[in-house]
Amino acid sequence: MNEIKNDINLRKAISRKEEKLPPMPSDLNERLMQRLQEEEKPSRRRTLPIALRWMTAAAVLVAVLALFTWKSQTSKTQPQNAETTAQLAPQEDTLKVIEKDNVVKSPTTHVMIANDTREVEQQHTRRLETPQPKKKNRKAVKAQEPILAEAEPLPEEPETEQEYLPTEPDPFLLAAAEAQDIRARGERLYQEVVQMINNH
Amino acid sequence: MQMGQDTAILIDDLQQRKPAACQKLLAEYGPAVFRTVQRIVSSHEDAEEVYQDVFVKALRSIATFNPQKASLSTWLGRIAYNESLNFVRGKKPVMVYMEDRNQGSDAMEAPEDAPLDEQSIQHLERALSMLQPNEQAIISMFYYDEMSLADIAYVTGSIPSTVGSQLSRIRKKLYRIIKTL
Repeated sequence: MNEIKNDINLRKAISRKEEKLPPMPSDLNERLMQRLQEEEKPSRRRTLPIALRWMTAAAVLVAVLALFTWKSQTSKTQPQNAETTAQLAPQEDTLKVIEKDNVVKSPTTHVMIANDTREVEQQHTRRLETPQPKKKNRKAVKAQEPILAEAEPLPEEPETEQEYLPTEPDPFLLAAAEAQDIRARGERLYQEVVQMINNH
Repeated sequence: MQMGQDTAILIDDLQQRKPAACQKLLAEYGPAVFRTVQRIVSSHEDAEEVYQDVFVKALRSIATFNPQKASLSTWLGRIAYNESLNFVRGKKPVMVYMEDRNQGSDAMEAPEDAPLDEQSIQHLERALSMLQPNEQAIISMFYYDEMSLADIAYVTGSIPSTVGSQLSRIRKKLYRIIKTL
């Protein structure tokens, strides 16, 4: 150990090397003191970003959860929608066909109705003599009233009952009228046949 | 290990975060700490950064300082040594000489006892720069700071006998390098 300690060459070399080292900057301790004072202060600048970080993290979490739930809901409803659209697709096609048919057929029915109005009126007058029809027929009779109004004005109804008076002929009503017409013809034919049998 | 009354007061004040105590600590122990850092960290700017980190760390952990184990200067030297080595290890890979792999081998030649020789001093100066940072620090602590083996052992985190063998090995290594120059 003494041998190491007494190595004067090495000692001298190390001393020279140490002396060559640059001195410590004079303002280094001042800078360090400033740094220490800044670290001592519970700065708001440091706490605010932490709060912001937490808030953004929470916002991102909520957004992700919302997205996840929305996706799961849409994935559940999509197959159902697909099924319903698949079911409705042929129905829509048929509806289109029906609409087309109606467009073509509707004028003819109107013509028919226009021709048969007199007969219907006659039938209606006959019907009035007969006992009160069922609720459905009653509705039909009430709907026919505008047609009859041209022939003879109806007695004023009490204002309390505000009924809907259609401006256009109701297809259901027209069909009912046709049915009545057929029934009336049948009755007439039946009576004729009965008379012919009696005559014979 | 006994501690002076002034040092005890200084440590108390540092624990109370008194700015005057910090200034006193820096003024008294700063240059030695900076020198320790400079031995390991070659860049001046980096050395300043490490120096600041050393004192920030020291002031944070002043409560853990045990005067029974080491003096305040040795304790600060230990922090400086470790911080500097950590900095250097994080910056660049550590150079390992082939000789270091044969630690304690008999193949190493013992340096000759020589009188004061200018040429040898110059060669040794050049050889010192070729040592590893921790080796430079150890040899400087022993020859320049004239620290005891126990204190060097505390700083480096080893035992005095290991430091003695390390010094012997480093010295032999230096003379071996000189022969290659």
